Amino acid sequence: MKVGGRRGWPTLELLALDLKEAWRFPIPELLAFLYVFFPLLFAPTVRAAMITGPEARLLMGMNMASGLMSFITFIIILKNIAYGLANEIRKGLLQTYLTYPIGRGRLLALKVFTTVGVPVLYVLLGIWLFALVNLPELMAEHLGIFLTALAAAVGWVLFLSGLLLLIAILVRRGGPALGLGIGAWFGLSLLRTFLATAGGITGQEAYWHAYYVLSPSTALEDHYRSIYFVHAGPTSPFRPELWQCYAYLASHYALAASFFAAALIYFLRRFEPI
Amino acid sequence: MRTRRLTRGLARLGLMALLCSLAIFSLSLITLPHVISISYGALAGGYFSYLVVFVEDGATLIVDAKGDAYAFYLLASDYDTLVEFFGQEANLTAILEAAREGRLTVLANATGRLKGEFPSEGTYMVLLYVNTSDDLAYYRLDVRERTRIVPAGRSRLTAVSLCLLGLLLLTPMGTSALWRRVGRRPHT
Repeated sequence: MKVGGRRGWPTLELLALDLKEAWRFPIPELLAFLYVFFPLLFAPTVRAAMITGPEARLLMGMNMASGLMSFITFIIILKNIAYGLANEIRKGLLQTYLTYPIGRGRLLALKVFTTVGVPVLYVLLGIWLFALVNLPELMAEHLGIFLTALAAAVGWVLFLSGLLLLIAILVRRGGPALGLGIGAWFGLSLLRTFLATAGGITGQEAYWHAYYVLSPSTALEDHYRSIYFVHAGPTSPFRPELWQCYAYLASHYALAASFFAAALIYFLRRFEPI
Repeated sequence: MRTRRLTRGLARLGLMALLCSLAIFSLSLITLPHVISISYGALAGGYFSYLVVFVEDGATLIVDAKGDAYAFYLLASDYDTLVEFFGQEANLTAILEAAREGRLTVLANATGRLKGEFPSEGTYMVLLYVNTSDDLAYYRLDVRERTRIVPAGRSRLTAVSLCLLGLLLLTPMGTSALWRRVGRRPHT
């Protein structure tokens, strides 16, 4: 069996080692249970509150499913990146990994998979099972919207993960990386709230554009939101077009990709373990 | 060694599938009533208001609405008709006319108090309350929904599928462990 040539086996070996260390039994098994159980527990309330069109019902359900577990997702990512990875650098474990016959790019890619990819898979699992059990007809009927909303839900996780990764690699210490990571998380959440509130009060579209770039799933929800029934919270003075929703999503991913790219470039060229 | 690692990985994925199945199945067994709206208020004479709820298939809407001067109507409708009559400026005459014509289904109507349980086949239900007097009059609404936490049929199908998948993924590790135990010869 040949996996990616001669360099395939050490990569897989390191991946297996990393997965085993980061996701010890029974943590991943319990997390899988929680990611399915909690969104479904609140499903009746969401189903009853959905006085809106079918696309918006699907989006609201999906946002609820990802939103309920977002706190746990970010705690896991903070623990994995800001604490785990930064401490590995601090304790010299990464130097040992660098002695393996694999490139730095591959090493970082498998670290990203272990620390960010696995929580992203949990988010996808939670949303998919929520929609499959509660809204299967809508999911099948509006598959394009479902996939776009799935990308939007994962986008915020990737955005924050990219930033945390960059911080961890730059700071190279567990404690400060954790503190800065929590600060970045709260800062971005506050920024999103501020942009929505300022947009609601002043009515300026610029605030809403910035807000939707940071929160593309809300843009999609606002695009499909019913114009007939009451909407709680700040309301955008304009309804984003579908192409604008795709543009917000693309910008969001571009920002997230720029964080990962900056982390990769720094790791390849300038990174020296402590 | 590599085969053992692979079977162990598959077994862990299988255990996850089994736990997901357990989560869905346990929720499919629970039926709970939950509050949609409990409210008190008053309307001026001749005015009306309404509460719209989507009641899913198999669920029951539990209504207890009181108000001496009020006429209560519980209507059922699809989304398009709902938007047509309640979306923008709702017109009471048009709504009652649509109810008479059968475009809006009247599930129940009463004066003074409307109390009952109304099973649904997955429709929007509208509780319409009209102050029929000339003066300000008070009302009290208690609207709840009794429903399974997850729809029974679909969720159990999903739970069974995940359970089978989990068992399938656990099989290689299970059989290899059994093989090692059975295949081990006793010391002589």
